[in-house]
Parts: sequence; structure tokens; C-alpha cells
Amino acid sequence: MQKDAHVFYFRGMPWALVGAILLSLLFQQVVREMPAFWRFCYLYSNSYTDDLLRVEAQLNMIPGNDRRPRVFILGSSCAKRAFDVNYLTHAFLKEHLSFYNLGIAQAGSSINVLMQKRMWLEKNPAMVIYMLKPYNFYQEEYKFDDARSFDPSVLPVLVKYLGYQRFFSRWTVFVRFYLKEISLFYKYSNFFSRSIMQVGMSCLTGKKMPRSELYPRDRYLPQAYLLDRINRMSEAEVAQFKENKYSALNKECFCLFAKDLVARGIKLVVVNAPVHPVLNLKVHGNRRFVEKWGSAYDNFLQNQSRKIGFAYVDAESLPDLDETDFADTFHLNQKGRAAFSQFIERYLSGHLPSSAGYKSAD
Amino acid sequence: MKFISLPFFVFFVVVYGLYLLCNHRRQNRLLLVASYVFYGSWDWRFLVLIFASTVFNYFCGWKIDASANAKEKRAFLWLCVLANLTVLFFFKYYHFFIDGLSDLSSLAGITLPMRFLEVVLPVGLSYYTFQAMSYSMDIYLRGLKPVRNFFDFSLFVSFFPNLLSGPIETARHFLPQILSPRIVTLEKFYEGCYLIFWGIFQKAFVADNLLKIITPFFNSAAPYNGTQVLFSLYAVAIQVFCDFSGYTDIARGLGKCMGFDLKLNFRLPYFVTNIADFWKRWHMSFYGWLKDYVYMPLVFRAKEKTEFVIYRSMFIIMVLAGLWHGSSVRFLLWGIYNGLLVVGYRLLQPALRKIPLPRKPLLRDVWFVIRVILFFHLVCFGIILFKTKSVAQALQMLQALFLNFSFDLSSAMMLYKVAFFCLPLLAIQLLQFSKDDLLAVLKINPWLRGLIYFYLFHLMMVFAFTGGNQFIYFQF
Repeated sequence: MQKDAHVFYFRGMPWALVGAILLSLLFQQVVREMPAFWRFCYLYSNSYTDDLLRVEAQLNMIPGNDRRPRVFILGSSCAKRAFDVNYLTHAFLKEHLSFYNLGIAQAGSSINVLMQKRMWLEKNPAMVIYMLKPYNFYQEEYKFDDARSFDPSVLPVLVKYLGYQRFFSRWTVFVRFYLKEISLFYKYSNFFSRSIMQVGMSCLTGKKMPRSELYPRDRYLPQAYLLDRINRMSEAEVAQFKENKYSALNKECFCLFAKDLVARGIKLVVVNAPVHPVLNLKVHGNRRFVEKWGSAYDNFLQNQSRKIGFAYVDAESLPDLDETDFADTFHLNQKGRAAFSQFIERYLSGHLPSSAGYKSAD
Repeated sequence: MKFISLPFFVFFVVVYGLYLLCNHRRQNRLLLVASYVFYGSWDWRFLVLIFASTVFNYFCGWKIDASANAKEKRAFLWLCVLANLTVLFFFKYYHFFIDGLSDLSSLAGITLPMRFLEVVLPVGLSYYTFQAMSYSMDIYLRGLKPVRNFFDFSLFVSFFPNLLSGPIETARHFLPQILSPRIVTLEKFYEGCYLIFWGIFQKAFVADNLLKIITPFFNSAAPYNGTQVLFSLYAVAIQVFCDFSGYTDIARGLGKCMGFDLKLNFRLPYFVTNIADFWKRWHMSFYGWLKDYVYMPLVFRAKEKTEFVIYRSMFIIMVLAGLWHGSSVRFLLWGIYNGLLVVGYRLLQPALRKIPLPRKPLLRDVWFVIRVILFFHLVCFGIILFKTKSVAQALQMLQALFLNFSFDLSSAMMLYKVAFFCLPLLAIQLLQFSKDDLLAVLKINPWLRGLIYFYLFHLMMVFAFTGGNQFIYFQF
């Protein structure tokens, strides 16, 4: 140590600072253990931006003494809006199954679902239904930077597919994830800041705080509107859907996810997301996409289904849904949700989780 | 590399770790390299400019000192000042003059065949130019000895904590700190950490959140509600202060951790009762620079030192300070407004002194608070010119302030939001004011201090770091 660097002549610790940090960690832990807190989060989280919080709240609201087998529904906002969990729970009342919709908007890609696993695994689901669509494999982005959940086990896969340079260029993203793991308030700062301001506003206006909706924007959009919107998609927008390094990354993540679940004895059902008829038939760019990648995607999942041992519900097996079942191109409305949930009910009746082996979809 | 960012945090931790391991000579080299890396991270082309400025001012300093007679010394000083100001004017006011010329010619029906250069203003240019100029001026005016080592002088110009937004150091204050070994004590380290924390709080919690409230309001079109205009002016006053003071505190904190003592830039400027005190406490390093190198020469070199010369010099200083903030008519008007306030206050001072103060201490305090509030409104009034997008918008807001003043629900909501983000700041500043110590928080009961940290931490966790706006004063 040089003579003019005396910083290590510390005579004491900054106890106030240390105390504040410890108190903060303790406070956050206490808050995490409070059911009322999670209930508040569940009721008032935003339908668009706070999906992860809603999911975490749902998982934390499961009573510790509830021994009923659980079915977790995973995927993006498509999954969130395709399953009516109340209907399904009611339909399987005799089997004592309880369904939880853990769909998170913009987080349906396999890398996201793989990372979310850490969050719900300790709740011991008996079955997992994962809703997937070809776009999750062929998008020219991997939706990682804005991923809603993080699991460090995914880092080797990222290095493998992105290369060291791209991986390290995103180091701030990883650090932020770790900070979010430490601090509940930082992780959900959007929700907390909005809630604090809304409480004040409610006092001023006398209005109650708006509660969250699981199925927002459920209105029916006319087909002409959707057609017009899709036709206006530029060539560049259509061209972004192609086989790329993120396809391989997501496929590997999917396999890791499926293998892990099967190894743990959790039944996995992979369901294709229903899409609006205009996407399958009438749009030039999209037809090209479906023709080119639809079969490759289907073959991949069929093969993995046989290899790993999960059930796969392909697009052909889905119920016939018409334009009145959709709220937009990918999201079902109330009518569609009811039809789709009935289909899932019928399908699951033959594949219920049980301790006696697994019945393949094939 | 933004100050409040993870890359800067890692950068500083690495630099600081190495700094503690080095001796004085190596510390200076390390800081110079770190400063160039930091500045180059904004745009490597800026490095050429700062290096050229450093070389030029270094040699000017030597020439001024080595010149045999006063005339030669003065010639080199003027060469130095003019060259520095030319560079500054070119980058800062090029568009202002070209646009003005173009507008004038088009008014006269002439289209000038001008080819416009895309001139980018290098961040921090005016800060390091002023700092470098102070070196030559101190050699000329105060007989400062020029620095032998070019690298030490380079560090004086480019020291990264204050490079982008000051505080603007003077050679006689900062160079000795570079040239002699620095002692990093535990107290300085803690004070530095506290200043960094407090600076981040001011910027990320107060300033950035207030900006979210005021931006939509100032982007909206007339008609305006007078009360909302008033609350938004309060918000702007606090936001601009916290933005700049936040940066300065971080810079001073970083410096303190390394054993430097950078100049104080803000000393509770809104807790004053008159304009003279305000400018002694707001952007102190800049106004100190103007006072030392512009005001003093204007006054002391005038043939007759009359009151008029003083008024004129004060007014010039304020107008120059206004124009320094930006090349637009609004800033010119803002400068004139402040110039008039300063001159007006000096003129009225004898009459104001005659106003009797209440005898009872409580009444005296109340009277002080009333004057502080009244003066704060004078500052806010000037902010209309500072913040609005055009003179027309400023006039519309003024009109609303006086003719459309009604308190409705949306005004109440705006007040609630502004108060929510300002009250923690106000509480801490009241503590600083009552103890007459900007580091008062460090000296209160540790239990209470812990609770304050706890509260501020949580406010920052929830409300800060949600976007990260750039510091306003980078653009100046």
C-alpha cells in the first residue's frame, strides 16, 4: 500500500448505511410473506405490464396446505387469453384439479418459459400446459432483454448461440436481473410507483383504484379491420420471421424445458396457439410464412414429443374457430375462450395427471 | 457513459481500485487515461478537440509567463481567450447565427447560397474551455506559475468527474490538488459516498420524475390553467436545480473519494430572500468564474468606477450567463430579466434596509419565510422564459397565470404529484438549512440517519431508474 492511499485506515463501519440496507432486506422479506400484499398485487396489477407480478402473486396466494394437483398454463398473452381457468377448475372439480393461468404477455418464447420455471417449480404442478406458436421460433429477436423473469442456468445456452461478444455486450441486462432478484420493489417498481400515485389520486378524486382485468380488450374486431392491418405489414416485417440463431436457441431451450419437466414427472402438454383465420388463409406474407415454417415447426415438435415424451396438440387438432372467436389476430375473445376451454377440457379428460404413467397424445 | 449507469459504476470501481494502489504520480496518469476513456466513450472525435484545447492552453500559459513585457503577456492572453471563445462560439452558436442570417435574408427576399455544416456540440465543451481559460488568466492576473508537466495540466482540463457539467474549477484552486499528493481519509470517503448517493437521489428521484410531469404540460398547447402553470413552474424550478445539483454532488462525491475537493456549486439557492444571494448560491463556480474574469476586469479597468459601471457590469454578466445557457432569444430575455433583477435589487437596497424587522424571533422567522417564498416566485417567473419552447408560449402562460387562475381537480392532482417528489428534498434541505451544513445528514443521530437512508432507498428503488434522462446541463 502506498503511503498516500489511506482509505484502509477505517476506524468504523457506516452503521447507519449498513442498518438501512439490512432493514430494507428484512422489510422486503416480511412483505413477501404477507398474503394480503400478494392479494393487493393480484387485484391491482396492470393487465398489460404487470403480468409477471400477477403470476407471482397467484403463486404466492396458493395456500400452503392446498394438496390438490395443480395445472399451470404457460405461454404469452395468447395463453393468458385462451384459457378460462375458472371454467376448467370447475370442470375438473371431481378430480380436484386446480388450474392457474401463468401466461405472461411478450414472454411466450421458450427461453422465457425456461427462465420462468424457477418461479413456479416449488409449487409442484402435476401438469403444465405450454401454448406455443411458430412465431416463437422464427422471430428475429429472442425477447431476452425485456424478459420478465431470469434464471442463470440459461446463460451457457446464451453464450453458445449469441457468442461471447454479444453475450458480454448485454452484461448490464444480467446485472439488472440480479438486482431485481434482490429487491422486490425494484423488480416491480412500475407497479409500486403507479399504485402509490393512484392511492393519492383516489383520495383526491374519491374514486376507487381500478382493478386489473385478466381479459382486457375482449371486443370483437371485424375481419376487414384485421385484413387491412395485416396487409399493411411491410415486406420487412414479414421477412423478420425466418430461421435464425434465435430459432436454434429457442428450440434448445424448449428441449431443456421439456426434458426437465418430464424428468421431474410433471406432465407436459404443448398446445398450438389458435390464430385468426385470416392469418392462415388470406394474407400473402403470412401464407408464405405458414407454408415455409409451419411444417418445419410442426415436425420439430412432433419429433421432440416422441423423443422426450410430452403431449403435443398440433394446429390440425385444434377446434374450428371463426373470426367471431377472436379479439384480434392472436387473442381469443370470451366466445373463443369458452370454445377453446371446452376443447381443452375434452382433451385433458383423456390425459389427466396420474401417478400411473403417461398417456401420449399420439 | 452516463454518470448514473452500471457501466460508469464498474468503470469507477475499477479506476478507484487501481487509484488506491498507485502512488501520486501514477494516480495522475491513471486519472488522465480514465478521463480520456470516459470522454471518448461519448464520442471519440471529441478527444481531438479536448486534446487540441489542452495543448493550446498549455503553451499559452508558458508564453504568458515567459513573455518579457506586459504588452506581450497581454497579447498572448488575448490570443488564448479569443481562440478559446472562437471554438466555443463556433460549436455552440453556429446554428444560432446561421439560422438568424438565413431568416434575415429570407425576410429581405434573398436566398443565400449557404452550405450548412452539421455541427455537433461536444458535451462539456464550455466547462473545460472555461476551466482551461482560467489557467492562462490566473497566470496573467494572479501570477500563477505554469505547470511543468503537460500530463498534469491535461488532467486539470479533463478530470472526468467535473468534465461534463462542472463545477468549473479555477487553476489556482484545482491545480495544487493535482500537483500535490492527496490523502484519502475515511471521513472523506464517507462524505464522498454520501454526496454520490444524495446526487443520485436528486437526479433520479426528484429531477427525472418531475420531468415526467412537466414535459407533457410544456408540450401541450394553450389554453393553460393558471394554477397548473404555477405548479409546473415550481416543478421546473426544483427539477432544474436537482438535475444540476445532483450532477455536481456526484462529481464532488467522486472527487472526494479520491481525495480531491471540487468547488461547491449550489448552497441551498432557494433558501434566500434576494437575487444577489441567489446568484451567490446558484451555479457558484460559473458565476464565480464570471465575477473573477469578466466582472472584476470590467469594473476595475473602467476609467471611472461609478455606480453606473457596476450596474452595467452586473447587467452584462447576467446577459452573458443567460446566453451561455443557450443560443435563443428566450435565454437572452431570461438573462435580461435576471440582469434587471440584480440591478433593481442593488438600486432598491437602501430602501429595503429601512424596512424594520419584527422584534420577536418567531415573527422574524415568519417574515423570513414570507420573503423566501416571494423571492422563489420571482425565480419561477423567470423560469417561464427558460423552459417554454417559444416567446409566444411564454406569453400564453403568463396570461394564464394572471387571467385564468382557478383551482380544479387536475390542478390538485398536479400539486399532489409535484409535492410528492419535492417533499423529501425539502425535508432534507430544511435540515441542511437549520444546521447550516450541507452534510448535516451525516452528523445526525445514526438511528435517524439509518431511517432516512431506508426511506430514500425505497423511494429510489420504486421511483428512480425508470428511464434515465440525460443531465440538462450537459447541453450547456
